[in-house]
Amino acid sequence: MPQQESSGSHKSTVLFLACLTACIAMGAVIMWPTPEPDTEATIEVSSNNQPSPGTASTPIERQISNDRSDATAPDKAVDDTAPPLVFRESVAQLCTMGLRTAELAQEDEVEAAQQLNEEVRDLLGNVLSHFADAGERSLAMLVEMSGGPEVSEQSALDNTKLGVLQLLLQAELTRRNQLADIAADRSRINALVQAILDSMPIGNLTTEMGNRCLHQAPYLRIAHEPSVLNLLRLAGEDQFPRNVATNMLMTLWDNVKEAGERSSEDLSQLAMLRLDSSDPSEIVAACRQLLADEKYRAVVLSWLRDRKDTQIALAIAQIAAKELPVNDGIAVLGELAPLLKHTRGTYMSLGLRSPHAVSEAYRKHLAANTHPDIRRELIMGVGMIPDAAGLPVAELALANDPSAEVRIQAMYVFTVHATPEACERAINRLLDDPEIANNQSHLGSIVLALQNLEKGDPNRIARLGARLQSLPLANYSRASLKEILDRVLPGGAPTSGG
Amino acid sequence: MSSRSLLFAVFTLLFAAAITAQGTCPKKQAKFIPEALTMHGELPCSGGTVSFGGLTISSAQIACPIFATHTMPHEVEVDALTETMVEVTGKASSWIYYFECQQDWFLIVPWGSSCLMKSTLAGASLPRYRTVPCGPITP
Repeated sequence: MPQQESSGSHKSTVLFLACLTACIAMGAVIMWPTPEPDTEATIEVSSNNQPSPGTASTPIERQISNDRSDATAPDKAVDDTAPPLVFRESVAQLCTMGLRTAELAQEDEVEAAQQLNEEVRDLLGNVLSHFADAGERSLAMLVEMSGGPEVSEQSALDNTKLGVLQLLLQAELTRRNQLADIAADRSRINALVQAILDSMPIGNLTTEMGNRCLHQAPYLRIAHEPSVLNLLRLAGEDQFPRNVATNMLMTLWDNVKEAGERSSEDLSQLAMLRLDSSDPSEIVAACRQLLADEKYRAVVLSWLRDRKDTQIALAIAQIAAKELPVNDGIAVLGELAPLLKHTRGTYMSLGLRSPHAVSEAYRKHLAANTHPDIRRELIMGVGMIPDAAGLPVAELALANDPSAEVRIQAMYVFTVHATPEACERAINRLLDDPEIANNQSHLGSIVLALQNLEKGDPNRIARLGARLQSLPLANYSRASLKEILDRVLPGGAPTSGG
Repeated sequence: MSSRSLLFAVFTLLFAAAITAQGTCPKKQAKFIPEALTMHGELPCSGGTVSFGGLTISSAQIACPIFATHTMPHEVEVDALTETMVEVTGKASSWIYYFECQQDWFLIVPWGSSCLMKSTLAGASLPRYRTVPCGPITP
């Protein structure tokens, strides 16, 4: 995640951070009609607040009951002697328990880890029952952590704390969303979502948390459109990650369509207007909306081809591969093929979803002997997914495809999924072809494929390496081959030249 | 053959060669493509859903990719207005990282630790190009 704030704006960031924390705390106090303790206040648990079984029979109803009376009683019978919960202490306790659970698992103490995990589950449930503003409190703690080091550089404790805060925020969002649907009142869920959106530009952690909690979740609604557009504006000024801004806009549009706040036709017309935007996030979101609508698909593909922006084309290709029906996705990627040269792996999302459909698409192109670039990508898309579903079509390609580049890509599939013997045969078969054996670029691709065999039988690499050394390799390939042989063979690469 | 005829023949030959060279120039140039990492698919790392306190959270929000493609810096061949072409200067690998879930029965998933990289493989090779002028190759 790129750093969002310059050192020059540090003071203003700290000031903004403090203001936001204060606003969240004030918002929490204002939002609830009954007196609510401050952030660090304890909440007394009284058995008098426990709802009667007759008035609240399901978890959701119990949540409503708890909310309406601002009750703090958990679902289970409450022990009057139990100490009152303090939010920060509860989070700290959850962190300790989470870390201990991980330690137990690492020590193969599986039963103990699972038992402790159940205790974590109980405590999380209690925290949610006791704190109707658990979301705002979690967000305030996150804002305090913001401005620290990158996520990857956080301590184990901080990363565990982020996991706890994410869980609490997501639980609070889920709870309020369910209550909003029942009560037909979105004011409380909207307020928390607004606070999350407002916090997102503060730093990497708040950006990441907002993305984790809101992207592809049903919480962003039309009320949040100005804030999402503000994130787009910041992304346009390179002050906010563009991919996250795009995620927020796409999620917003999905949700307003799902909720009936805007019709699909309205959104498509809005998207048509957004195509002229100077902001790539808006363009990507607009293209996605139009691609989903068959009426507009040809228009947007034509627009993309005319624009010749490979970055936007790649973003759209990835969305199409992930979201459209598989055969539609294959067709869209085919249309964008001239813009997607060497964006290797674009078809892999489709291969993951339907190896059969991608294999069939390859067979059709092979039968027609068209689009070798697309055939190569289809072989990679179906052949390099984690299972070996693409091996049969790679065998077909290796034996029958007239394009050397496609056959070389099929050989890469062999290095991943075929037996070592079959893989060695496949490489030798390629080297028997004069078109490949006399082409330095093709030979260079084969040399790099040997990297996938490094963990196997060194004799196999020695044999293949010796044959390659006898061929007219380019200097860069000869150097790569030497590095591979040095890593694999006990005495390093043989000195015989080619 | 007179010296004038010889001179004319040499001139014609040179002129024809120049025309031919100009006509066969592909008018291409190398365009740099920066390094890129793309995630594919989602592994639900918490057993499908997470439930506590009467709530169920979709595990799609706690996921790691099934695999990622890591495209190393390379060049592609694009049209040029100038009399240029591309020349291969090397090869780069496109890497694929395969992931698996870590601690998939736990409620609390620390950030940065939910996914383990299971293996790394070379998925394809990518060209390294440079742009060179068309025309006779000088020693």
